[in-house]
Amino acid sequence: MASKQSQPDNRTLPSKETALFRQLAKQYETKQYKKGIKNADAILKKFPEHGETLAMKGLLLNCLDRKEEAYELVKRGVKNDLRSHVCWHVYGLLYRSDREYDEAIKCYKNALRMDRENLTVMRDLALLQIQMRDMPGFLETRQTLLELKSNNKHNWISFALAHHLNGHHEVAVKVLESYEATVEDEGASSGEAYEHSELLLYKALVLEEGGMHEEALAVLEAGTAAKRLRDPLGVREQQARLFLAMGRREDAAAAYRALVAINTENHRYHAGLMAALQLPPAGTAGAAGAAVGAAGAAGGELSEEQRRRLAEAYAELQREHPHSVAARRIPLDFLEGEEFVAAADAYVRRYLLRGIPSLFSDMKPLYRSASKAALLGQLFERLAASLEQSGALPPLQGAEGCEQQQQQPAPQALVWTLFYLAQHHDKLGNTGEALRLVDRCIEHTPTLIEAYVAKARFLKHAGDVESAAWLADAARRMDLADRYLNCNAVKAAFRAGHTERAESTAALFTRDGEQANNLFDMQAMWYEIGSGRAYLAQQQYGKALKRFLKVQQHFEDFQEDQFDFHGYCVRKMTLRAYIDMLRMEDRLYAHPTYLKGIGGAIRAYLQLHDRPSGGQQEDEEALLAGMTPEEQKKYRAKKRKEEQRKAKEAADAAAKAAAEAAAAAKKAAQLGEEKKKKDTDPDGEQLAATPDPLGEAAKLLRRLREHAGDELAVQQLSFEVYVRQGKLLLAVQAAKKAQQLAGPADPSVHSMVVRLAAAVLAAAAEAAAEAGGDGNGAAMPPLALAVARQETAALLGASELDAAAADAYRQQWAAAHAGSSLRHAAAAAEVAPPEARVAAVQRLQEVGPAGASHADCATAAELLAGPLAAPEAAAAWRHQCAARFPWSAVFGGASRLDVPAPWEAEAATGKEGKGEEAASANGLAQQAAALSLS
Amino acid sequence: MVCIRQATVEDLLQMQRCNLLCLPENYQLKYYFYHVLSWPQLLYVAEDYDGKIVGYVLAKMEEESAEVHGHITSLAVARTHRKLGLATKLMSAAHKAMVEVFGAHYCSLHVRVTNRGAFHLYTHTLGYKRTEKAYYADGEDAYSMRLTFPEGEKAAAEKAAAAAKQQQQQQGSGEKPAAAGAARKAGKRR
Repeated sequence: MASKQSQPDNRTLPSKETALFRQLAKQYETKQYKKGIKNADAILKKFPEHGETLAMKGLLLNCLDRKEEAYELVKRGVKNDLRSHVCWHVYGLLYRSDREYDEAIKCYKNALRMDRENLTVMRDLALLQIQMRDMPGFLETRQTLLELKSNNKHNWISFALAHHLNGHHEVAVKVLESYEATVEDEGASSGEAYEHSELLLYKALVLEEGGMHEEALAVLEAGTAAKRLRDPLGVREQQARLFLAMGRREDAAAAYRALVAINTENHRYHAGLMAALQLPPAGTAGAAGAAVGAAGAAGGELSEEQRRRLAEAYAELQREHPHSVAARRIPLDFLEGEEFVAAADAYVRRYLLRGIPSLFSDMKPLYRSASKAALLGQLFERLAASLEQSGALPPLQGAEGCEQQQQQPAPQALVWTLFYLAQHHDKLGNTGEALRLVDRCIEHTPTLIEAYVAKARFLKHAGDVESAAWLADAARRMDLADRYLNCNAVKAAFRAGHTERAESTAALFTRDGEQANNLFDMQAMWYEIGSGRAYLAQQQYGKALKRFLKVQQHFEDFQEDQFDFHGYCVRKMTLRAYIDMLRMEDRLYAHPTYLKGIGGAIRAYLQLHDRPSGGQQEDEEALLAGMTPEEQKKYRAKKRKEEQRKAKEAADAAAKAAAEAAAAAKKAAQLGEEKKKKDTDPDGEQLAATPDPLGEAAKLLRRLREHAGDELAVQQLSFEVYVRQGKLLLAVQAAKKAQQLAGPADPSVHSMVVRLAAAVLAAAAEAAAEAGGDGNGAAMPPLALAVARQETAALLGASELDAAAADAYRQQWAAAHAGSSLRHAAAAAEVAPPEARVAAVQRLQEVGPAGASHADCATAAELLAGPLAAPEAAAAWRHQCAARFPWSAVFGGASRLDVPAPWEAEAATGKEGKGEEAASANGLAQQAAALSLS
Repeated sequence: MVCIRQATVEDLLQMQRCNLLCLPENYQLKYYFYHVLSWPQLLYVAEDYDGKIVGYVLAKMEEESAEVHGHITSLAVARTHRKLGLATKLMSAAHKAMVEVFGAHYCSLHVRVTNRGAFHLYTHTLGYKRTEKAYYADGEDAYSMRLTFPEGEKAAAEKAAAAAKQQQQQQGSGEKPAAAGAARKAGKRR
């Protein structure tokens, strides 16, 4: 020891410095970073190469956001003292703070090599292993921790969890039981009683998942008898589930009946009861059926016998629970004909009399059946007629003989009946009738905000996003305090391309008016996706990418969020919820919102690739070519205005930026240090300037393919990226999977297969040229090419891939499917070779816009004017569509509404209309007057 | 018809979306995680036929407090699904779980002074009483409200009786308030 003191190396310190080191370690824990750095500097002054001090100083600097210095110091520390577990632990913590968990795990393992029994490092390692789902590693670490410290209860629980997560249900239960045996008599306080209850219920869950149903049931029964279970509802739900799994149907039915009695509106209980009665779940909702594992056919495929038994079961439930809405709504799913109408009539009256706005959304799933849609239309016509004639609803159907049972007058019921009918017609595509009816509602009750919202939606469906946005904004102004109306208006403004108006409207509900930051902090992904789509439509790729990629950031944060709960839930003993969370996180990137955001970003990259910068001029020419002279004039006027506005904005923005910079500098000076990192690319210009947009898109695809590969949209995006990259084997995979998912008749699958065949044939030709000495050395390797040929031939349904086989496939598909819908006809035309185009275009025109959605018709118009280069056909098509969609702004329909322009140009304020008084009758009358659109 | 059921972790993203569309007070997802992983029985959702969340209640237990009680962090019902009594059903479900699972004596919440609809629901439909003034983060005035559960009233009555009895004893024997603490503890345990 003495010799070491006199001859310092990079490992040891004299006692004075050792004390300083201890102090700085404490300062790190208590977040006194600056003081800690001071102490580190004091040590380093005398011992500049002391490894652990260097590493600790790096860690402290990292906490002050000085990353580069931090890494440099920690690395130097490790190098100077490779055998120090402190240095390796610090290195791991540094990586962990940057979410580089794999690297962190390596460092922790090195630390443990130096100090085998270091509990702190081991606990940190276990956290990372569970975070990264290294299940065997997690189990091993938890086992060592338990061996080292078996008197700690959390070590027992975590060890059981580790076995459970590794699929060792029986061992997990044994571990839980040996722990239980040691704490039998505790649990006096209320908190402890809850923990103990949760622990028992966790054990029951492990038993259930391990297929040990009897044992699980026994735990629940013993726990209930001993009054140790504090979650009565959870116990009942699990019992019911277990009875069902064990085939104890009578017990299951009784258990689910008891649950329905507790909460008559829980569809999962209804589905469970039906399963116990060996009936298919009646609800058409996926959620209800999923709870018990789909046990049978959907509504349409019921046998007479099943329908009768369902009706009986529900008649009984209605008697038992006269106030249950579910017990009266669910039968509408399985009843047919007369019985359906009578049940629907009885059901909807409460909604109409009480003016409940969600009636149509409640009935909408029934519209999957065309006959029920027609019956509902007739029913509501009948109700409306009676209300108009007598002011009262007609006597209930099925209540014959009680004709004398006269209905009370119901003045408000008429407007709600008309409101329903309007939505009914919109759903069936009868825009004219829908608008006529909703206008009657507005006339009848000008204060009915729902009618304005609905009208905006109808116009959106009819292809007029501009009027839709204006009406949604009118609805917003009628109740400025309602954020739902505000968000609705924001979405509509984005859809109409009024990005600034949308942003200023959203800002009315965010603190300090800093809407982007606040909405980003609050993870408002609907907003980012809406905004991204609007900018993408305007070909503002930087801004679009910026918005879409925020969704990625949020999801990565959601994944990170679980970190703190690995330890927390073991302490809280909420282990069932914790297991749920782990599973939810495992499926996180399959969430539809993630697909929407990342899909948008990939589309932006694809467009960037297809139109490299400088192509803007050409784009515009193409756009103008497809317009009528009148439209061209309008477009140019709009563009001029836009340019003037942009110039003004640029000036304003510069002034504002200068003011903000000054304010920020002042604020930063006050705070002493700049905490928030400034975004160096607020408009995503750097993102859009990437030299390799396809490479960026492919990076984004990876996670999407891994987690959401069963989504057709994911395979479509994959194909578009890979075929452009020339990665034909990957493109083959995407097309193949798409064909499995959607079937060979799907238009998008057809387009992929034809384009794939062309790309593979081109690659084969290139390879042949290379073999002949003419190539540029970039041809596909022979083996890969052979696989691609073989797989593509299989997709074509041919034995060999050649031009003739591809042609035959294309023609057969067109003959079989091109006539079945507009989308099919468009897909056939899109991939038709030049000589077959005329016929394909003709085919498309024969199919015509009737029955097609507005969006599909607009896509077809673009296809005709653009890739198919058929300007005459395009003009004729637009003409046809204008007749089919008279309200459409896209096709210049005759009935288009006039919107006061330019309503969107000014920023939204919270005082529009009459401000707060807009809710007063006076304000609303004015609003209504302003809104008479015809 | 709307399904009313306990929320699971799978519902949190949709609950957050519903909150962002309906209310000015928003939270990061981690705060929803914190609720469901601390008091999994206290979160309820209203789900429409297509599986969309149209309403929710996010509740918690105040564990540091002297008297066991719950607190409503956030309650929302989408404008499209008003007048169905969803808020009442969601609140009642949360109340019931607070009592059954955690032995709560009462439930507290804050409501903006300007939010008359919510104020009406809490006072007239659910029986909440105003306690003191409170404030929102944006500086707006709010009412602090409280609903005492029958179980809580019983406990309070027992506590009062115990205190009265003890007072009598104290008058008799001059005993110090150690027993009062015990009574409070007993009350806490229900």
